[in-house]
Amino acid sequence: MSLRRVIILFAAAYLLQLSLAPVCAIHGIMPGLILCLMMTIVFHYNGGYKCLPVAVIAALMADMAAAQYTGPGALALLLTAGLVILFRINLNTDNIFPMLVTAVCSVAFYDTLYWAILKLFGEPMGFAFMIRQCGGHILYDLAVVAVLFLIMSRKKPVQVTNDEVEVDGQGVVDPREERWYERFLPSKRAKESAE
Amino acid sequence: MGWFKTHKRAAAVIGVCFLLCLLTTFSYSTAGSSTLVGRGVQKVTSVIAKPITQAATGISNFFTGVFSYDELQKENQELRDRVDELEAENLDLQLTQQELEELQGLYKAFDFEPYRAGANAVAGRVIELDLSKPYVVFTIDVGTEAGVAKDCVVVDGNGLIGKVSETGKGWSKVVSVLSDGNSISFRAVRDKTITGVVNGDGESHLEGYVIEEKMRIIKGDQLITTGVGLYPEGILIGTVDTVEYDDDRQMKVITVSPTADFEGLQKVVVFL
Repeated sequence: MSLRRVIILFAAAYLLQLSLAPVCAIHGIMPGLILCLMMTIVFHYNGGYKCLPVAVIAALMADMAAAQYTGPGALALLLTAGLVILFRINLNTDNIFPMLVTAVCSVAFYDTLYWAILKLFGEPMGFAFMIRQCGGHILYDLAVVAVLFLIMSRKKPVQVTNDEVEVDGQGVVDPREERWYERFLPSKRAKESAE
Repeated sequence: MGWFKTHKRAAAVIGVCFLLCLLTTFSYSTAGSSTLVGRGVQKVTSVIAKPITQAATGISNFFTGVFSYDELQKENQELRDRVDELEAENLDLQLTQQELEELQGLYKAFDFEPYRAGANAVAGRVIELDLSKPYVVFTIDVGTEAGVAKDCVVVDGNGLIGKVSETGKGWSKVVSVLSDGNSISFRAVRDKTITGVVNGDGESHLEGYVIEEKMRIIKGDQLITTGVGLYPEGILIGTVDTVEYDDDRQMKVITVSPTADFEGLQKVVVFL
């Protein structure tokens, strides 16, 4: 994905985060559009981590514009990106289910981290409150990530996928014959091309 | 140093993390007040985000109306009934108009109340919410151009919302009573001698204590501001949820539900 497109996407996410998301809030819970976009790009695209500087700047600006303190959102986002990269190394990046598993873990991680940073600086927000909010965030963000992933996977240039899995020199294997958990793992060729 | 040279990406990430930690610490040490850059970002964002918010609110209201047609019909009927009742009530009130004018004349004679009826106020629309702490901090679309200044008091139709923590042209950041940094002196409506202080719990309630331990504050008591400190007298704060005696502090500790409608918060009034 080109830098120009990344900048446009994060600028849009930033503006919508501050204007549209509050209108779509359900019981005060809003989707984290910048976080969702970052997770989808980093997970789905080879070299997607290159969007991180733009994502961090967008998160920092969102902190400046809407949050009480500047920094915690951007810091939590950057560390969450590390977790997403860890997931993408070990999972199939072209299937939506591993993407959703990554999103659940990453949103939970992000919320916990954000809460921990606030707690460290003496905010009184309780753990139970954070968990309640986190549940809502996960559901909301899953929906957003699913939509983003489906859009991006249609636009993404052809990459090595599980459709062509060669096992021990026995030729191409139909993915439908794979065991269910193998769908979550990167294909051999994907691993080789990454290496 | 050699490690940093060979691991440039990792070094960059560590450096950015370190910078963000510093920035967060600085932000907390200045109690969240914006820098020049922050103010610029806030100003530009509010200009761009305002029309999007308005459009989205309009669309949201339209769909809400479409999907709750039956409910709206029912509400419409209830409102018609209510209008009939109020018209009848209005007739009675007209009889006491003369008495009311006398009271207003008496009221104006007292010039100590800073926020008496007719005081300058301006209405604002909520345009941005903090994702992590909704309704603890939010931004409204009126600012210095309308005369809003730091520490102006913000209310809605139901009660006290909070105070302005920062302001600029076209925007103001409001810290609500739910924030733990907001201490409010209160007295009970039922018994004026019951006084105390409440603070936000950072989530959705207020916590506080009663100054005189012997005072009988009870669940359901309505609390209003006393006029001591920033907030003017007589604004409804909330309703007492629980009353407990804290042995350690040897005082009655209370939790309070705010009367202001934070979840449905769209418009607020700022006292200038």
